[in-house]
This record gives sequence, C-alpha cells and structure tokens, in this order.
Amino acid sequence: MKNILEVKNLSYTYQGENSEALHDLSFSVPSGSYVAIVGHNGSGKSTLAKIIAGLCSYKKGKVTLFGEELNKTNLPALRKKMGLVFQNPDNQFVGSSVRDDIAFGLENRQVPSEKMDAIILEYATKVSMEKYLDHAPENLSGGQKQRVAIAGVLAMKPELIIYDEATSMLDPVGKKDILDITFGLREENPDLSVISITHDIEEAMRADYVIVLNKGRLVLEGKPSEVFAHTEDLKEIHLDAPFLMSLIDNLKKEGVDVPSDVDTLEKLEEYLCQ
Amino acid sequence: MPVKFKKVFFTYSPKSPFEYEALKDINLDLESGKFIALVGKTGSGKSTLVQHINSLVHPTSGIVDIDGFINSGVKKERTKDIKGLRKHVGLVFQFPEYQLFEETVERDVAFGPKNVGMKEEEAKEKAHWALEKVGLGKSFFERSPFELSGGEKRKVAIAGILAMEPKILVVDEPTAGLDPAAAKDTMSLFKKINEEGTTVILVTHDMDLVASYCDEVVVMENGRVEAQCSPAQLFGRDLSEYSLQNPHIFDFALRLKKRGIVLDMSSIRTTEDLAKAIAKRCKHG
Ligand SMILES: Nc1ncnc2c1ncn2[C@@H]1O[C@H](COP(=O)(O)OP(=O)(O)OP(=O)(O)O)[C@@H](O)[C@H]1O
Ligand SMILES: Nc1ncnc2c1ncn2[C@@H]1O[C@H](COP(=O)(O)OP(=O)(O)OP(=O)(O)O)[C@@H](O)[C@H]1O
Ligand SMILES: [Mg+2]
Ligand SMILES: [Mg+2]
Repeated sequence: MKNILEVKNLSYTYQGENSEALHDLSFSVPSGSYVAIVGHNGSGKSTLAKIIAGLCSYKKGKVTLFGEELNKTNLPALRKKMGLVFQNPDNQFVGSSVRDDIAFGLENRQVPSEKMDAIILEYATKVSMEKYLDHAPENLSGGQKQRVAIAGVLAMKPELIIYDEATSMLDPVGKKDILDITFGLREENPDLSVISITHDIEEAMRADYVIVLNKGRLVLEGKPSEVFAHTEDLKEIHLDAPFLMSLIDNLKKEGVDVPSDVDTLEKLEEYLCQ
Repeated sequence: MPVKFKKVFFTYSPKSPFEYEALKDINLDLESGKFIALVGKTGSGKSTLVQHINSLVHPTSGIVDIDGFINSGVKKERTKDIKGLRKHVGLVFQFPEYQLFEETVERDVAFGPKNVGMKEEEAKEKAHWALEKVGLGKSFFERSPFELSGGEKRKVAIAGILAMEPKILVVDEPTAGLDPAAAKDTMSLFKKINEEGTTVILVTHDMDLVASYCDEVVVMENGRVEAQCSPAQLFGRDLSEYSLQNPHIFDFALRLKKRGIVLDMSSIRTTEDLAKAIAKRCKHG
C-alpha cells in the first residue's frame, strides 16, 4: 500500500516563540485510511494540520504528500488534492452566501459552471443545509456553520480530507451523520484518506489508526483498541478512555472480573447478563 | 429570584427574505442557584435564547425578567443599566474568538472587571485568579490571545467571564474544543461556583455532562421549549423525537434493563456510580 502522506522528523517553532510546537514528528498515512489525531489542548494538532495543508512553512524535517516532497512550486497543485476543514468555521468562509461559499472552492478547481449548481445542491443536501443556500454563513447557528464548512470541502472531492475538530459543535446525530457521510465517500473512492483531529474519543474509536500527541511529540500510535487500552497513560496526558474501557475499569475496581476478550458493549452486556 | 421568559418571540431579519422566527412563545422559569442544561439539536434556538439573558438581543415581543433587569421587545421597558446587567450575567460565547480582542491574555481577562469599575491592580489580580482556575499559568499572561490554540482561546474566554464573578453564569458549549481533562476540570469548576450560589446555565450537546452535573434540563426544538425536567426524568428512554441521544450511562442501563437487570438510575450520575450499582446487583443477584 502506498502512503498518501509521510512526515519525517518534523519540528516547528512559531515565529517569536522560544519553544517548539512540534518536535521530531514522524508518521505516515497509508492511502485509503482514516487516521485520528488526538492530544491535549496546545499539543500541536492544528499546527500539524496547517503544515500538511501548506499554510505554515516548516524548516526542519520533511513532509511528503502524494509521493512528492512539499515545496513552494508543487504546493498549489498538491493543495488542490486536499481539503482542510478549520477548527473555527468562520475562518473558512469566503462567500457571502452558502451557495457562493461552496462555489468558490469549485471555481478554484476549474469545475465547469454548468455543473456547479448540481454539485452545490448535492453536497448541501448531504449535510442537510439545502434550505440555507442563500443565507449568509455568518447568520447561521454554530452547528450549521460547521455543516456548511464541511460541505464546501467535500464538494471539491479532495483525495485527502483533514478535519480539525470539524464536528465539535454538532449534536450527536449530526456528528454521526458526518462520520457516516465520510465513510460513505470512502466506499465510493477507496483511495480517499482522512485525517481527523478530534477530542471525541468515541469518534477516534472508529478510525483505522490513532496518533497521540503530547507537548508536540508523538507518544503513542496504533489501532484504536490498542491505543485506548492504555487508560492510565492517557489520563496522564489529559486524555480519557472511551466509555467501554472506562466502565470495564470501574467494574474491575468494584471486583467484577471482566474477561479480557470483552471488547464491545454488546459483549459486556452479554457477560453481565449471563 | 428566577430568570423568567414571558411569551418571548424572536425573529431574525424581520421583513426581509431571510426572516426567520428563531424563538416561538418561550415561557420559562430558570430558578436561582440551579445548574441548568439547555439542549436541543443544531439550529433549535439555544444560542438565540441565552443571548436574551444578557440583553445582547431583544425579544421581538415578550419580556425576559433577569432578577429585576428587564429585556423587552418594547424599548422603553428595557433596563437602562446594561452595565449592571452584564456584571450580573456573564455569557461565554459559543465561539471564543468573538470575545477576545486585547493585545495580551492578561489584559483581555482583566478587561471585564475593569470595565465595571474595578481598579487596575485589583482587576489584574482577578484576572490571574481566573486564569489559574482555567489552567493557564503565568507563561500565558503576556501572549496574544489570537496566537493560541483553539482550546487555549476558549480557556481565556471562560476566564474573562469568571473574573467578573457573575451571579448568573451562562456558558454556550464551553467544552467544545477542550481536551477531556480540561473539559472535566472546567465542569467541576462550574459545579463549585454553582455550589457557592451562582446560577449556571449550560448549553451543550454532551448528554454525559448533563447527567453528571445538572439539576435540571430544558429541551428545545425548532424554537420552542419542549420539556423542562430533571436529567433522570428525561433520560433512559427513546429520545429520537428530540434528536437527542441518551448519556452513555443511561444507554447502557437501558440495554441491561431490556435483559431484566433494572437499576435505580435516580442517583447514578457517572460511570463510577454505574459500575458500583452493577457490581452490587451482580454480587447480590
Ligand atoms: N499563531 C501562533 N503563534 C504562536 N504560537 C502559537 C500559535 N498558534 C498556536 N500556538 C501555540 O502552539 C502550540 C500548539 O498549538 P496548536 O494550535 O497546534 O494546538 P492544538 O493541539 O491544535 O490544541 P487545541 O486542542 O487547543 O486546538 C500551543 O502551545 C499554542 O499556544
Ligand atoms: N444572525 C442570524 N440571522 C438570521 N438567522 C439566524 C441568525 N443566527 C441564527 N439564525 C437562525 O436561527 C436558528 C437558531 O439559531 P441558534 O444559533 O440559536 O441555534 P442553536 O440551537 O444555538 O444551534 P447550534 O447547536 O448549532 O449552535 C437557526 O436556524 C439559525 O439559522
Ligand atoms: Mg487545534
Ligand atoms: Mg448555538
């Protein structure tokens, strides 16, 4: 399997700051995978997203995207293959209406104008915002803004999607919708890769792979079930275990001896009811 | 004294093509000293409703009585003492960026107290106290609030309101963007402030928080209040009519209930409580 992204020995310091926001980071994202990045506030997640999207230029280390090392010359072309949904949707909007906003991204990718309306409608409908096409993005509720920001990026059909806490203000049903839409797109295009920065452990559980940052360093990586089994280590770096692991932990403390092969809520229910 | 909404209607951009009635006939008593959650799906009107409590927006018709400060659709009836009201009610916005504007974190947080008449030194002390409470140490004081991570910005915005020591604290999705430890610390802090007498009104999509921390929950849908009750009364049944999901602990208890293990959920608020109750049942059959 080829890698869509390779990061090697990447370090980054913001101008005028004396400590590093990222330190000697190395990892790769195989084409077609869904990778979750978790870490405490200020651990460097958004910085990493901005570097990958070419919004911050780095001096130390190497970032290879779609097989090419990121540089000034290839950046515009590489940028067209990826879409970043910002942590704050207000930083994303350029159009004066939802329609214009989605159109702007499409224009940038030279989508012919006769095709544009249909694409805009398709993606607005995917995120249930088709009734708001003429509304100004700034006059939407917080969750509606996030939906529009996501539609704008998905409409461009990127090969790499980077979500920076893109669903932090959605209701649980909305969160699940976006996750399902994303997984659905992956079925259509098996090469679509997703990097999702999130504080939502339950979301991270659905990823193929999890990367954990602590103070700008990569401290843990692996399959979700492996990474989130380190409940005590996670607590120390301000993270939490998913509900299942935390319930099992608490049950064990109360003397209920849950077998180690119980790794879903269904199995736990089965065990407790036997 | 409660915060009282009486027949409140609110329309955005009236008489324009974008006219939208965001609040419809809201009648609501939010009792003093309580920890109240306001929940409901995206666009249901939560942020619009809470912005009425500090008179940031005015009803199109109807009245909000905030401990004697009046916010009304009729201009003449509105309180003239906006400063007094804003000292009384602190609102932390859904997007912290809207709240940050000073050059340094310290000055940003000290702005509120200074604005309501506190002396420079005292305001600074209050700011330091509040920043410490949200977990931002000295190294953050001189930094620009615009050059922080998303979660750090939110912490500054929360500190800015805490520093005012409001009687009513309104927080609009305060844990969005906070890491799990910070979210927990922030909620514990609100709980402590609440126990010391402050009313806390929390807008959230996180039902686990509602179960763990709140006395009362108000459910909104499509601009209306659909329910007002205790968390234990709301949770533990099918909530899809409100597009809500049960907290994890209630969800799991519901699974067990279907299999014949019935737990008394009225005193269960956390995963720890749930584990204890299950263990007790298992031991005693
Ligand atoms: N524009 C900036 N200038 C200087 N320092 C910055 C800037 N943006 C972020 N930082 C600092 O860099 C570090 C990493 O920030 P980053 O935004 O990458 O964190 P994060 O992991 O995304 O956190 P969060 O979960 O709070 O969004 C933090 O210590 C932060 O204060
Ligand atoms: N400035 C505005 N102009 C016009 N309509 C608006 C404005 N702000 C919000 N609305 C509309 O009013 C409705 C209620 O919005 P509000 O922000 O109160 O929702 P909310 O319950 O806080 O949602 P969320 O959970 O997404 O933050 C939404 O349909 C929204 O589109
Ligand atoms: Mg971030
Ligand atoms: Mg809102």
